[in-house]
Amino acid sequence: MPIYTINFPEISYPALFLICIAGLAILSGRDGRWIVLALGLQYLGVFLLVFLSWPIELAATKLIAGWISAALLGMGLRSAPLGFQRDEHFSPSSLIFRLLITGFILFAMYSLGAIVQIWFPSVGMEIILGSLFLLGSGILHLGLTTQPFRTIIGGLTFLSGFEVIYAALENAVLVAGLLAILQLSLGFLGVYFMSELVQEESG
Amino acid sequence: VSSPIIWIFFPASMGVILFLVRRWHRVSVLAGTSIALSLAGLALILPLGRLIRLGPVGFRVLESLDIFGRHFALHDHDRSLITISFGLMAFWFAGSNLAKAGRVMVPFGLVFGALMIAAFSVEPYLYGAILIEIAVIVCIPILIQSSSAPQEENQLSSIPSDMSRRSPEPEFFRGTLRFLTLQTMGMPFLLMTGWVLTGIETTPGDETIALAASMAGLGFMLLLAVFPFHTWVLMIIEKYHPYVATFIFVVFFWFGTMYALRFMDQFFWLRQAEILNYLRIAGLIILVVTGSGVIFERHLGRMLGYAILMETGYILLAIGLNSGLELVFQMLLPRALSFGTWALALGAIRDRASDLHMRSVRGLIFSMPVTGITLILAQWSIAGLPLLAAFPIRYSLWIQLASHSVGMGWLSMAGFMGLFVTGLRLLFVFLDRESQQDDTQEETWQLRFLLSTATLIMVLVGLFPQLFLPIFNHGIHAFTNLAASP
Repeated sequence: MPIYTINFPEISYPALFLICIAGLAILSGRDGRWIVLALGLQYLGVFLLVFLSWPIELAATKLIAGWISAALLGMGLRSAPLGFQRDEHFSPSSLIFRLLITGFILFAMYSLGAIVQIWFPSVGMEIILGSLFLLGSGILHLGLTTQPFRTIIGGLTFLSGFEVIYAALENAVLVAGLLAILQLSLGFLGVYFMSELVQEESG
Repeated sequence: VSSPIIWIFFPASMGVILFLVRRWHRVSVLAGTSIALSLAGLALILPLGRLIRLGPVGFRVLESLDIFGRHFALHDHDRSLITISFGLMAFWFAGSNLAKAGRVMVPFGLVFGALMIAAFSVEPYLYGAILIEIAVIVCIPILIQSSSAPQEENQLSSIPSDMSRRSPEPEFFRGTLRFLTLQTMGMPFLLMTGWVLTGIETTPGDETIALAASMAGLGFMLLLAVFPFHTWVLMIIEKYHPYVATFIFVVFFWFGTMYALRFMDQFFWLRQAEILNYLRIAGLIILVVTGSGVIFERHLGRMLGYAILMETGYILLAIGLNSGLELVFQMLLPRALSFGTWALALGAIRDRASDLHMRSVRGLIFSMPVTGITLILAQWSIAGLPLLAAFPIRYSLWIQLASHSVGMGWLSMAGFMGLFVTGLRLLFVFLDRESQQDDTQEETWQLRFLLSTATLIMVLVGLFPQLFLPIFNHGIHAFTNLAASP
């Protein structure tokens, strides 16, 4: 019997908790360094959920690639200009809006979970819930920002949500490798965007 | 040696090497063009999977390469498609130096092309969606560098450019970020389709087919920038170098179409009359939206963007007409020729004018006569004006569509009307001479020569389509089921 058909609360509940906390921190965070840290935490949750479907050595590719992407973005932040978040408005009302919308995603996640499980009956509910939360917060993040750094974070979050559910359906090594390359490429692209902004500041 | 090593890994590695030597720009362009041309020629003459004898030596080029338990395969029947694809890249690379397209267009362009070929060749082919997404990431530096790189020498116009360095404000990245976001969202739909399709094979049912069709439809709408997911095309062409943006769009949509045809080739239910009817309707919607949008457009770059989107509409129409599949391949020549000419002319104007808004190009024809005339002719060629390159294909499409439904035939003329009227407007603007205007000639002889030659070829293709267009029909052999169906 595959491991993902077993209810495995010792792994899945902490993973869900990590993903929700990290998602909240990414959506409402202002400081780039905290956001990168939350992204690293989110990848730990993703790894735990993928571990329910894949062997640990394959699931570890998600964690390693994710952490490398986060580290790349963190390094990019070190050299980014101080005012690189200048197009983001973080008023108290904006923070309240972000918290409310995160709550809405959590609500939608529980409402949609059962419907999605009808489409993917072989996938455990915890995996579906984690995936839906990541997909939702990724889309929300992409919709709320026009800033390169945050768009990359949103893209990585959205992809993580997809990877969690896809891992339960497909376990090809080639797919794992290609998705890891995709994550790393997004990390490099984030650094590239920030380096272009640095050139503007210094030029 | 296997075919994926020759047509995927070799160009990708050469792209990386050329990136390292991008300092010698002309050498890099020459090498990149030669590599793309050689690979196109090699695909034309080298049989795959069969024994080749060179005197006493015999060898065989294998058709597939195994990686992590899956394989990349380019078969003998894919050779025409490979020839056309690398020929297309060589055509764009050749003009990149004159167009001042930036130092990374050729190196990254080779990597981009190799990734798109890999997406076409991977088996199961659904994994190609991930490779397309990686190719999108490779495109972004090409676009950004084309507009942000300082340009030391001005080859297109004799006056120094005040737009040679675009400021990378966050606004500057908006188009590429939208491109990245929409493609990232499209990829999961295509991958999930594969999983649903496995279900169709085991337990076929209307509900499963509807789910798979919806997922594939949404995935391809995002991939091919079908309305309403088309805005990134206009945003990119407005901000970045028109030649580079057009190169990315033409190559990307070409391979996107091939990837979509691969789906249709594999699954017979995607060739049902109902699905084909949806494709025709989607094509018409694109033509009506872009045809009416371009009439009110005042930015020359966005006009080109609308025309590029219009081509997707014509492609969907051609696929939707059962007998129109060969037209998809024939369209490539007029498309590459007309868009290449249009983008080159627009790049030259961009160097000279403060921006590409209509108000900035008044009286342009007096200082850049060849550029102005060529731009309008290229626009009319894409519209489908008689005697120009795309006319024979447009005519064939209109006739076939009208035989299905007269109303649809009329609606499909929206694209022609939109571009034709816009061309007339542009002509009036170009002829609108300002009182204090300086008529110093601002075209170099290289630019005049290239644009005049391209215009001549556009007219020749329009006059003698039977000599040029049937060569592209061979591309259909890559899709064995589609080629066999009536």
